[in-house]
Amino acid sequence: MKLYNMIFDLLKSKLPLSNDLMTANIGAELLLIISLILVCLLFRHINVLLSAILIIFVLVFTITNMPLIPKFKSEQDDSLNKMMFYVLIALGIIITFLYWGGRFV
Amino acid sequence: MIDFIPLMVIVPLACALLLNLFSNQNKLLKCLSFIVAIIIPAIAILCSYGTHYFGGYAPMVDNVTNTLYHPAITYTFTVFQQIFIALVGLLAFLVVLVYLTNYKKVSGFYLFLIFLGLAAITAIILTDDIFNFYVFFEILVLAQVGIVAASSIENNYETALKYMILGSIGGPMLLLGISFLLALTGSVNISDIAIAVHSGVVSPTSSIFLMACALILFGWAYASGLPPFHTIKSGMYSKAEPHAAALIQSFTVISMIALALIMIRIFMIIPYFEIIIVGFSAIAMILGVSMALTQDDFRRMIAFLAVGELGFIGLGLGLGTHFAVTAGLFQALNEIVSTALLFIGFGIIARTVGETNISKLGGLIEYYPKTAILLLFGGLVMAGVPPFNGFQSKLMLVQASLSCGFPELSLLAIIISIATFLVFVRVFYMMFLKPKPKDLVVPKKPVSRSAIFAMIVLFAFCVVLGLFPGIVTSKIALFVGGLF
Repeated sequence: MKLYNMIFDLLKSKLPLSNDLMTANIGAELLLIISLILVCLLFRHINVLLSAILIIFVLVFTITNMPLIPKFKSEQDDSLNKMMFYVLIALGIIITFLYWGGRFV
Repeated sequence: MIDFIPLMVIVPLACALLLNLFSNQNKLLKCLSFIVAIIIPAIAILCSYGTHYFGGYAPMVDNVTNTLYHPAITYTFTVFQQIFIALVGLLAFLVVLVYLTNYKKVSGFYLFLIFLGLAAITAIILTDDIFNFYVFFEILVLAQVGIVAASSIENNYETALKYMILGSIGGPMLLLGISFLLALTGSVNISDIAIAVHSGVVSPTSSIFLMACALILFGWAYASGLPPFHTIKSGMYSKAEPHAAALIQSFTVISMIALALIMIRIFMIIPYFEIIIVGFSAIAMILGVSMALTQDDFRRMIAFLAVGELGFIGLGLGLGTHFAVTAGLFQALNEIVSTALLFIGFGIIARTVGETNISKLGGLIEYYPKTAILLLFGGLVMAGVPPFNGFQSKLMLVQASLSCGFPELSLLAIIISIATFLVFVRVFYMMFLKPKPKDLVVPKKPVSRSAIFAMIVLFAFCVVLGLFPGIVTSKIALFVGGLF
């Protein structure tokens, strides 16, 4: 019930709360956590130990930062600054992964 | 008949220019756009398969290496191009029909943008020249921005401008990647580049080749609306008129698969290339659907779902096997149809009721029963419920990821489908089933018959492809066989 209460309190402070909104947010929260763990599981194809470490990290991160979805949503609003920030971060990650990854791995 | 190939680009392009020229003559605009909208899918269906070399420069054979070189801009028309051009042509016809019947006075400039986009997307899927691809891709982006800017939805200019600003990063990066490939291989013909890479002329670990891959991959994310461009892409869908959003999403899907197929042909030699595509796709699925769950505006909800569905396509293409790529392309076809159905259907509600916030709606099934039922079916198609086409392609994707040794991806695809279903349960309940709020006034406007007709046609596609997927998958599989 703790997760429910945390999301309830957070949403209630910002929006007129309804049953469907609460359900949708809890659904999104669970979807996010499960999906992140599944993505971490994929790393077992590279290294099982790496996958285990990532899963533990994600679990600790999600438990200590719950509820994730309101923070997640605020990072993906229509602000041009945030969009530009993530676009440049993504460009950096792709180039790092492909350029240096391809040359030195 | 082979000479019909360039007509698939020339006809919509010429029509676009004429529509702009005669923008004051309402009847002429309506007649011309209606006739050309019928002609475009007809050309794609009637045209014979083949290759067109612009300027008549036939390929040359290097007698020393026995390699074929393509000096001309080459357009290739196979069963794959036929399916997608005919489909987007049909969709454009339905969209133009909805637009012409909904407005007494039509805008020549708006129709110009629709046909310009159609010409650009046709060229994108036909061309075997990566620079020609880029030129038409930029034209397509301008057409999309114009369509959004020409809509009458609040904050549309702002969204269009933001897309242009972000495009000023994504577009040049794509061009830089293409120029690196040109520097390495001396050609912009995709077949020639692929031969140069696979015959060992270009080292797959060379710095320039890897940088070209990274930049084109980033351009692909921009073209497709994959993360980090998912927010602005969903914004573009939600700020366009709903019938135009149906067309814009089809442009996005086709440019995504066209560039993905180019990348598969050139960069598949890089060992971890597939992992990156799959990673991007998985993130798109997670972000798209989780964001859709938390939205209140039904247009934005569908827009985020459309982005999430792109992840399924990328999943198939990224897994890289014959069966997986076939599944990915089949999913692309299904997404174009099902998302268009939903955009047009929700557009009826947005236009007649004038409210898009689901918490302020309710009880609409009493007023719009046909629209509600068709939307329900559309939602089931997108969520992958049998016996519709969405189920068939998603089942193929699950099977493909299992056979590639990635049960996690199968599980992820199933969970995302369930979450998509949850989004529809929510939106359908809130809009149609829950009691009508007291302050909601439903105007007695007649529902657009053309929009209902368009939804029925698209739904018929979903049923036929769901019951007989082999009609399309067998042909796509033949095309994919030629890639490997």
